[in-house]
Amino acid sequence: MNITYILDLLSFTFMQRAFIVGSLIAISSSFLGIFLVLRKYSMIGDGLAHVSFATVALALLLNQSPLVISIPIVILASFLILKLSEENKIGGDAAIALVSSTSVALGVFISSLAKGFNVDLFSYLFGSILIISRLDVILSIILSIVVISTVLWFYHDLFAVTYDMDFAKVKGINTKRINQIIAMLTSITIVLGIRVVGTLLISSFIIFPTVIALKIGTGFKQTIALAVTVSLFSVIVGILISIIFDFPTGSTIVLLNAILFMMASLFAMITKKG
Amino acid sequence: MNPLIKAENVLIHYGRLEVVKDVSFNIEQNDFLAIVGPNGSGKTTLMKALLGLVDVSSGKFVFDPSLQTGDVGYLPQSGFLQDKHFPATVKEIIATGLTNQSLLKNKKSKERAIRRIAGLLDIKHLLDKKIGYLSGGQHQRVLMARALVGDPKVLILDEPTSALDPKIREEFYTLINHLHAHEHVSIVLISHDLQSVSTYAKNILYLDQKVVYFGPTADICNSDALINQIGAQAVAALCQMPEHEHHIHP
Repeated sequence: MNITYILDLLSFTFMQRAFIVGSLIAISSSFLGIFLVLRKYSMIGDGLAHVSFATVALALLLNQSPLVISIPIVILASFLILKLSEENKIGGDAAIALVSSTSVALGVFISSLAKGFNVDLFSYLFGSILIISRLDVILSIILSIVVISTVLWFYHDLFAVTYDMDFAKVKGINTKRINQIIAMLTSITIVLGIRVVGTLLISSFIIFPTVIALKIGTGFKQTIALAVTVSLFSVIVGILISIIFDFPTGSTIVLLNAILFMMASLFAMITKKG
Repeated sequence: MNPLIKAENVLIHYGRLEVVKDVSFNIEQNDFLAIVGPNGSGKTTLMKALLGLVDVSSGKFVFDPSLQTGDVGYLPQSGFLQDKHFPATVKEIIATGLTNQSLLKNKKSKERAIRRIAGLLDIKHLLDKKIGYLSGGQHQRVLMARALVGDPKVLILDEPTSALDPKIREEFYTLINHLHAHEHVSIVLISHDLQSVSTYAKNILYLDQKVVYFGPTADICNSDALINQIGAQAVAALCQMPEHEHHIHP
């Protein structure tokens, strides 16, 4: 195996699409990750990924694009989780568990109704980055631009709410709207990511790069930049490794993240950072 | 002159529990009001209601029309331990206190505003440090800078010295007094320690779910309600403090 082999691989359209979509999701998810992880909302990503399982089943049943069907429903589910947690009638973690388990049950129920698409559904459970359509690429580019530009536009408010919600409220920031923006962007990122790593592993895309960056970073912007770098690295190298050695792509990326996490923990321990 | 903020018959429930009962008081222009009371007396809840963080069951807060959003600065109870692993520099934290959009969009003006307040609080050398690496006293100064960077007219401080050692506590009170006297910021100081705050405050609101005493600090010695609440000996001790007489504002 040599560099020519890798360059040959890159000349294939399916590989180019894999790298473009993978990189866009890497950037979007790591941009958002810090706001979710620091506010202890990491599991929202996991819950919404379960919701997307049901919406993909529904899209396949209706013979529609899973991306188009999933985004509005997952956004609604994220608002429902926020509302249930904010009203304090049940805890945030319980709200996520309720919504996600109901969704998985619904997904299984729908897939049993239509017996023909179980193989397709399976590809959404574990991801299949190498069979991305042209439409998926275009939607990924548009939605990633939406996610990244929204984070940049609301950066001051997002940071203020993440650091101290009460203080942000006192300063006149509409914290409810900021929470909804975070939930909406997370939903979009989750739906985009299920094509790459699947519903079972997508939450790790949001959590891992941020947690790794937190071990090393000092400032907030610096930590986001580190998370984006880690995420891009793990996606690009993960895809390459998976193609060269014929490993499953999604799990290769996540396992690479796990190795990076261990290395960052070791580094933090040596430099006594965390 | 109209009061800056007026609390009218404020009642706050947590579920069926009445935490604050029919409380009325004023925060005057250039006031130094200490809200004092034992643990669980509703001090923090009352201030959170004033700041819009807790819903009022009945009654209301009336704000002077001159007060805009962002004119009230807030220093919450110490979040020192929670901040140990937060990935932000001191400069980034102070910037969250800015509400002026033109300041936020102009990098140079933003930097200037942060540096000015950091200079006032003697934390310029800490601006690029990670918040989690600071000592308790430094951390408190950073949160104070965040509260002040937006040039508030009223500054609400919730038990600001509870996590500080006595020497730094004294420095902190001197700093608050300086802000009040020279920057003309109205101060609302929440504390459970009547003795310490009576040295500095113009007015005292003694709370135990309801108002026990509200009036000038100089008059606390004559309050029968306060004597009934904390005992004649405790009130007498406060009134005999030589420094008390010395520091009370006219």
